[in-house]
Amino acid sequence: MTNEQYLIVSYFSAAGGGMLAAAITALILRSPVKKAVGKLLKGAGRIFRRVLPIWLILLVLFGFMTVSYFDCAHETYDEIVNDRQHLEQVTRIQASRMCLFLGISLLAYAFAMVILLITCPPKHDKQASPQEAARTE
Amino acid sequence: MEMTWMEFASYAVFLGMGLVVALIVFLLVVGPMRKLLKANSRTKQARSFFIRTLFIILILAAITPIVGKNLGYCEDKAFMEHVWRAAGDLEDSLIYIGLYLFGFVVLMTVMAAALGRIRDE
Repeated sequence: MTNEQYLIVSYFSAAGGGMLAAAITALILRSPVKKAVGKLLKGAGRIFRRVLPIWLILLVLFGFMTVSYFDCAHETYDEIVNDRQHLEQVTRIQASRMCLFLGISLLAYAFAMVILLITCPPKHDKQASPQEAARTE
Repeated sequence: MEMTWMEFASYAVFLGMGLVVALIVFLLVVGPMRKLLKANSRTKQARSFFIRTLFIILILAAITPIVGKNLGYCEDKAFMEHVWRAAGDLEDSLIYIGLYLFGFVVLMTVMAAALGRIRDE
């Protein structure tokens, strides 16, 4: 495989792998999210569920795109393509950055979940517990 | 240049150690967290979400710095030089695990402070 072919294959497979990882994470969290927000107000819960995969994929792609092939020693396309070690290193950095952004996006989503749980009232207020009813009075 | 056997071994061992540390931290935290989330019906519904999220975040924290490291391609290095280099990678993993755990603990504290008082079970 030539360096240029390696560059093309590694670039698109890294992006695809990151998106796949984000999609699998969203799939793993799909049913817990549904369970967590199911009894909250209908609209908020639905938006919250739909946003999860989009949010994760967008953040992972953002992390992927923050890595540049250009640096002080590699200022032109030819310099980049001729250095196989640099190509491999950048691919590893892209993978690392995608992992980082996936973690951060999950933490941010958990934060939003906490805000939603605190602020959003449950769907059936009539069935609220005696303690909650007493609090509201 | 090819990656030497010693480099691969040190990389694999310290990646494994990072994952083991993440797993130990998760096992230590998950019990009390489960109890905390049982406090009322609203947090109880979200228990599974928070536990899975914590697990994924800790695994990502362990692998994030190690995946991005340059594998080196350094020949004629002494055994301890490989160990020091890999220990540097593990150090980054530990920092990430600590930071993510701190963020998660802050989240749990906010939630417990806001919702934990309502005991409707």
